[in-house]
Amino acid sequence: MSPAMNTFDVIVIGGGHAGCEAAAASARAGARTVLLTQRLDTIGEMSCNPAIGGLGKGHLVREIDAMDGIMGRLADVSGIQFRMLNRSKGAAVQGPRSQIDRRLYREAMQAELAATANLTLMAGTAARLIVDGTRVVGIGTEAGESLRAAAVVLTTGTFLNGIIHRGDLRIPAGRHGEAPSTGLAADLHAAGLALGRLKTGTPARLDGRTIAWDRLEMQAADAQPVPFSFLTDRITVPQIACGITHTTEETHRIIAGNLGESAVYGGHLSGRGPRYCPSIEDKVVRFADKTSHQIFLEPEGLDDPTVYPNGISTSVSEATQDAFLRTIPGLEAVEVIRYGYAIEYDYVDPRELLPTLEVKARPGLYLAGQINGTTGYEEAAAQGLMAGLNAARAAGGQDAVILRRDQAYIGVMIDDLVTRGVTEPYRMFTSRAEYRLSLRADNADRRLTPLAIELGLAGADRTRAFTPKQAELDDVLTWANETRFTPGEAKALGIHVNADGQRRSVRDLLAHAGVTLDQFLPVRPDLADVSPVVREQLAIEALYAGYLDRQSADAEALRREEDLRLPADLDYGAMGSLSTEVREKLAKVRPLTLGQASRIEGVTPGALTALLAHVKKNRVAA
Amino acid sequence: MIGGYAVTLSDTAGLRDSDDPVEAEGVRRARARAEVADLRLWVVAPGDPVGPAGALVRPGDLCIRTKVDLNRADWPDMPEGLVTLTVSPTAGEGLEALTDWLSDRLAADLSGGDFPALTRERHRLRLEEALTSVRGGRQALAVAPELAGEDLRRAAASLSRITGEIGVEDVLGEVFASFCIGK
Repeated sequence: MSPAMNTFDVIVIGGGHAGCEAAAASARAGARTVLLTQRLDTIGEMSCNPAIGGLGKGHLVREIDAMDGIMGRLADVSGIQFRMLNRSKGAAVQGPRSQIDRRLYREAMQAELAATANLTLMAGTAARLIVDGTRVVGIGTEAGESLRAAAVVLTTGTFLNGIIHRGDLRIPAGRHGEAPSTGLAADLHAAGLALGRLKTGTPARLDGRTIAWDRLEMQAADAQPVPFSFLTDRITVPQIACGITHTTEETHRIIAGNLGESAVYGGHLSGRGPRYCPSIEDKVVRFADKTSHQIFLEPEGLDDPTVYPNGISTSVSEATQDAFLRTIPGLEAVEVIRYGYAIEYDYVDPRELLPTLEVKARPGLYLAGQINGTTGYEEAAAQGLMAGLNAARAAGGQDAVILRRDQAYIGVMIDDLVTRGVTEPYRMFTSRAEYRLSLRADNADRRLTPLAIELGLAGADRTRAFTPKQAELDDVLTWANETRFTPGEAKALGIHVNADGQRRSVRDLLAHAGVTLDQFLPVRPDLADVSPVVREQLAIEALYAGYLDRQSADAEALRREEDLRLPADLDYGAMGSLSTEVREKLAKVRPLTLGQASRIEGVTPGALTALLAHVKKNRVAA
Repeated sequence: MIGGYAVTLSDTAGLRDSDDPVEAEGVRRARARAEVADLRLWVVAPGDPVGPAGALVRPGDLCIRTKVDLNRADWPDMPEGLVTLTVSPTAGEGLEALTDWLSDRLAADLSGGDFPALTRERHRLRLEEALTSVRGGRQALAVAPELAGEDLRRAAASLSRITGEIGVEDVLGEVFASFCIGK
């Protein structure tokens, strides 16, 4: 290759969900981008549960989509069991989820990236970082090539010093059948970055042809599947049902009798696993009083016999896996296609990162996905999007983009990571978002697409679809907020409220039980043409009205704190008014704003006041 | 955070006589810290002498016998009235019991009959805010559970301005201690 062919704006390493989204975002933002991955045919692979979305995670997918990212659209053309979770609860906590056909998703991803302008796909293994002083300026491959770029995005997942555990087996590996990256881990070590160890696990994959489906309870997809992407009109992929079964006392007895084989209980691994996704060994030990745990049997594709048994990840030996699986109703004669395992891997303490996901000690290097201590395709993709976007903008000499906590779940996640670090694999939950009533899956486009358009990240299709919807929504919402009726005027429309002389807005009246938008037709006949999407938005805004007003006051206070920027060179060690503990914590995270400082564990209101006083005094002095 | 309470834990210098002025100052500070602490944790290993720490601890304090994996019995003599726990960080034994004991002790000291006095107007206002939020949440439960959740979050935020933080991690810890999520 000539030097010019080896020079890019942005290099993305890794073809998982973080890498794909990072490469696509970087290319959309106009940067000449290369995606380097060990094998081109595994780009877009779902190595764990073949599903996308869920509570909190579905919100992330909608936000990625609102920024014109790819995960939502690809899930819509490969989803085989769409279900809106929490449908019985309110809009703010509903999460779209779908089972995914692994092959369809992988193929769609590979086709999408191959057709992306500004993007080159390259097979190879990154062996080392090329640095100029502390700045990362490229990477060296195992084949001896050097690639140069203004920014590098590292998305190596569990490949850093990965070790697979199953019974007595210890296999150094990244993912089943693929080699781990040890050279890069050494480079990150050499950079002085704090690394930690986490673990995660996966269940055995079952041969669906050996499952007695006719004896199992089945769970169907939603009759009206709701797509992930704001650009998808409807889902055309055939929808399937999943099976539901459960463990038995015999299952628990076998596992309890072979706990020593398990990676954790045998004492073979030190990494910490997630509380919310325990292995079956964990469940048997921690919930010893329960005699049964639910299992979802999820087909991995329309024409693939592989079945993913959700709920029983394990690292006991193959023989024990066979034995306990066959005590589960419907699985009496089951054959295993691939056995479950636990995997332990290095992650970088995300407090080593700026909120742009750039490594503080290595300018030009961005990290996204599991390497930052998170779990999940959606969390990975959301970080990939922001890392790719910021890498591309840095390469082009443009300002960084940081989403705030009141703007997006993506902002909540990245702020949590870089401010508080992790002690277990980080997963998104709606409870992590203070502003969850306004950060909804249904309004992600209203929150983020205008920004994506402004940044040049949104393509023509996105802009064309969004702009008229936005105009209609703005018009109707403004009218609903500003148009007020006396009780008498409301009564004339058939709406009965207390005759207290109060003038109520349309939005307030819509919050009353049974009131519909059509009742206002006499005063505004063109309401008959309002689209269902806009009607739904209005109904949600009306229900949440009082709460949303309060949250926007809180968000205003947050923005004031976020506007107070702290100098990057602040010498915390010299601030005598702070305790040693607080000084050390501030020096480690180096918060960019007073708001970020306030969210560091152990930083008290008193310490913040002292910090603010110090900064203001120095500003006056300077 | 231990058991939901914000705690300041000081790992002090070892108590020994020293001619080195820096070390002597460290020991002086350690003694001062121990004098004012609400609880002293005295860590002893087999074969350790009683040393000056024996004079600093008080009844009700905790003596932590470490390195029990060595299987030795030559512990130093303890003053009366100390609670004893054994741990082995190497083998990972006893650490959970230690955390549990500390949580229980904190809960006992900081709650119940001996409720910390509300001495300021600020405390009263925050508690009233919390109460209003909880009442609002009770009403909201009938309309939409996520609104009740928002009210509870606000109540926790008001309380945490008196007590120190009630974080999302504490809430998640409670949830997943009793419950596995399906999807």
